[in-house]
Amino acid sequence: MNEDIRHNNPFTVPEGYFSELEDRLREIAVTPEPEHVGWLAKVKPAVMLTLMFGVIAGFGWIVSRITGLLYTDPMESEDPITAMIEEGWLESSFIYAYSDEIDVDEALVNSLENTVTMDEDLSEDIEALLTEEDIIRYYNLD
Amino acid sequence: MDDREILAALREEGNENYAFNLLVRKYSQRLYWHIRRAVLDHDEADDLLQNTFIKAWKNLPYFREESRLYTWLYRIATNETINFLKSKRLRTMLSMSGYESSIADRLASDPYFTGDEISRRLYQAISKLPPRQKMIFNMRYFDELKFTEIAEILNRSVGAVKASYHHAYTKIQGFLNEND
Repeated sequence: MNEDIRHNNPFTVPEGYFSELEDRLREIAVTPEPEHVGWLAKVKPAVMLTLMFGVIAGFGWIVSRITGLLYTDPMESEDPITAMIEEGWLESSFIYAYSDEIDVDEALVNSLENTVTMDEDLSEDIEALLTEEDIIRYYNLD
Repeated sequence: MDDREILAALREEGNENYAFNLLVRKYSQRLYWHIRRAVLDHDEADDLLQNTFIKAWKNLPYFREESRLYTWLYRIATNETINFLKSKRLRTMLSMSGYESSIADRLASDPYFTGDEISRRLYQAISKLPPRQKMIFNMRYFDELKFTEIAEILNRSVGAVKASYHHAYTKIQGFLNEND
């Protein structure tokens, strides 16, 4: 093998590399090593996070219990139909018609066909609005 | 300052940083070229040299002076380099890219390589050697260390080191003759 290659170094380094290296290594040597972190310190954040989650979940459960006490099942209320409509369980064009602008024809149909059991007072109110003419017209009695 | 004085300074309280600077100044260039010839790339050599000195700094309190300081530093640098080359070889095998075949191209485009075609071919041939054999060849051929020193650095028998060197030498010659 060529002896010239043996003694001729074909590699170079960036300018000032070795003095920069000395500075860099000096810095590393004087920088104190980070303190050893024990397993307790390592798991502490995870434990704290779990505890926080538990506290939030517990608080949520308490709130749901309190609001649950204030909540009344529509089926058990004094006016179940209205309660069910307020809850969004039931939609009735009849009720809307009654509460907004009364369309007599529609009210008639609803009063006769609605399968929902109406409150007695409500039923009486509706009937009071109907004329005999309306009833005849509906049943095509004329 | 000789190694014994550096070691004595390292053990003196308050003098450690100064002694470490002396150690870096004395050995950084020798160790750098030792690593660089094996990995070829400047940035990789820089990383490995830094790791070598950091390991040396951390382990200096446990250095028992059973071997000479420079042998101990060479051992750290050599082991770091061998481990790096092994993992690089494995990565190259997994990525299916031709590491050795690209050496000539890499050297040709390396701004920190000023060698001619013959040098490129020699380093290409060396790159084909297994990591340990490569380090043995470099230590003997370029650094001109004695076989006993190389054996001490690698913790191997002198006979095994000699055999490894001659095997490497033959392989390189074969590669160079093949490509003449």
